[in-house]
Amino acid sequence: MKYLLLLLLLFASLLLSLGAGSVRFTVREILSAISPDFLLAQGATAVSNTTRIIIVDLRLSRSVLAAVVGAALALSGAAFQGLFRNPLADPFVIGASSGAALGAALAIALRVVVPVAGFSTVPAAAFAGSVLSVLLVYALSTAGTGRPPTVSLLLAGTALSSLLSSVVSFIMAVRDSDLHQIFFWLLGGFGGSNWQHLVSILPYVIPGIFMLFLLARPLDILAFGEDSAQTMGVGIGLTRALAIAAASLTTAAAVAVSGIIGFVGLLAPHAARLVFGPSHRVLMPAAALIGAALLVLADILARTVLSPVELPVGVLTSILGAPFFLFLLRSKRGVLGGGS
Amino acid sequence: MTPLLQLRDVDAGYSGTKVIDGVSLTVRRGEILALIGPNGAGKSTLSKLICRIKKPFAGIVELDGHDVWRIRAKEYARKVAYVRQSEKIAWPFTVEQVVFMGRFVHRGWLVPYTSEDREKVDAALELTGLMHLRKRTLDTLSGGEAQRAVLARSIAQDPSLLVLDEPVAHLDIKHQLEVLDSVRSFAADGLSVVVCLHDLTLTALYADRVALLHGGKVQLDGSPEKVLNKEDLEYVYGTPVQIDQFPGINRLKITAVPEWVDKKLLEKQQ
Repeated sequence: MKYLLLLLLLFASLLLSLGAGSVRFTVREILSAISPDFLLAQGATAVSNTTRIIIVDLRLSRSVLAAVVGAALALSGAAFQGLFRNPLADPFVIGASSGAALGAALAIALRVVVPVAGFSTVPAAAFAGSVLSVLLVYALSTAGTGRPPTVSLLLAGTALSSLLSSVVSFIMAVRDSDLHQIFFWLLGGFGGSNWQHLVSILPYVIPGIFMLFLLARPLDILAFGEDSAQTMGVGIGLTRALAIAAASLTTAAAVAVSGIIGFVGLLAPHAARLVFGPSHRVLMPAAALIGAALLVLADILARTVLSPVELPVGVLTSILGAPFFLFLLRSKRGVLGGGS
Repeated sequence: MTPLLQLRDVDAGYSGTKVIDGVSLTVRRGEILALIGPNGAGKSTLSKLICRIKKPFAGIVELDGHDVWRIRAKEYARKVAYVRQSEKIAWPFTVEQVVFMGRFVHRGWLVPYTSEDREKVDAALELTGLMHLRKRTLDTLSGGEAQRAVLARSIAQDPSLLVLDEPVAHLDIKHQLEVLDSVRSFAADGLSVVVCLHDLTLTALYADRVALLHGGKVQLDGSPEKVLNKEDLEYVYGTPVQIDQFPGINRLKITAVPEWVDKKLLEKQQ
């Protein structure tokens, strides 16, 4: 029932996203534009080709991409919060975003033109940077020190993130001409998205999401900490490796096509936990739906508030997300909880 | 018959520091074995060795005659359950969800829970007296109730051996007894329990056998009446104790006696 409401919310925000913009469309126009031809034959109003292009090729592709990215970030956030037992964890906690930022900044500044893994240049570089930085953090954290690996993961992630971010700042400082482009990439957004973007991330996002759903039970049990989870039959190393691989690939793909969009991955899992409880089996689908709807709505605002100027969607998710998060924090201390 | 669990000449510790020094100990079937000893004597480390969380530097830990490190972790979790000292849970799960986590080891990632799991969970809730609280979240329970929920989780795991590291620390006297009564009902079904305890009277009341640890070694091992004697306790804990008996029943009552009280008692006797 609650899922149904979330599905309706997502559906409504998608519908809104197709109608809203510099040209507005009615629900009837939207439905005719997205219906296949054989349905139109039965008396529905046909729409002009331009309308169809705007609705299907521009807006629908963009909104579906926003929904997929929102779901991906929300799920990765939920997985990292579960894995690290930390309510502050988000998809970028072990370096996925800073690596992506460096990759993108390098590709923009050096004008590299080498498409990789189905992406065009900047997304490919961001994807590669993201995956590489997570691998580096993972390698650093497992090599040595007596600390529990999850703590070293968080520490190594934080350290590497600030290092890579400084390099990005350095590039921006010395490459004046690219400053604007890098800056806007960093803030995140869906301007200029098309179906190709969606197609290129699905090979990473779909298996990633699938794997995260499979990990629901081990992630639940990890709430008791790693030692306890192990004595309850959870293979800690395997769970950790799979969760990180799945969440990071999903995040890397999302970041590659949308830049760094903050707060969705932090907020959606908390909102879902608040309504559905902490069990990952119910929490994760709910978080995915909330993340998807949230990002679709934020994107609508991003392109309508100051139209024709487009705002970076990452700015809007923070502007909307931060107050909501603070509200949750005040009203539901226990639920946000978190253990040590 | 091989004992359920056996440690032979085990050394263990943390980054080179030996905390457990040449310990040999057996856990028999159907008994409650209490591990006692001062802070730092090695109780927690010993319980981690038994739970296969900590690997010995030297020596061997055997379950049913097999080296525990040759048994796969998941396999081991079906036989030995562990409740850590003051377990904390990161998110507000309900009591029932927590107890179902105990069934994970029998079902794995994906196999749906069956009516058998349901029965085991209900039995564990019944045994720990938590049936009426099963829909409550752990963060809304008292310390004793939360501790019993974690105990129920480990009972639902259906182990042959239950290892409890100070399950009654931080609980008031009534809740201490409730938790230990649950433990005793568990052992009454022929299953074994290893429990680290600080309270010596509770040890005398609930343990079938006691191992007194001192500086990483087993100082003494045997029945409560044998181990809980004035001389050894005073030597190991380094403080005077007074040992009485509950009138009419064969159970000891042990009280730590501060030096200044001890002096006054001696003066009065003279």
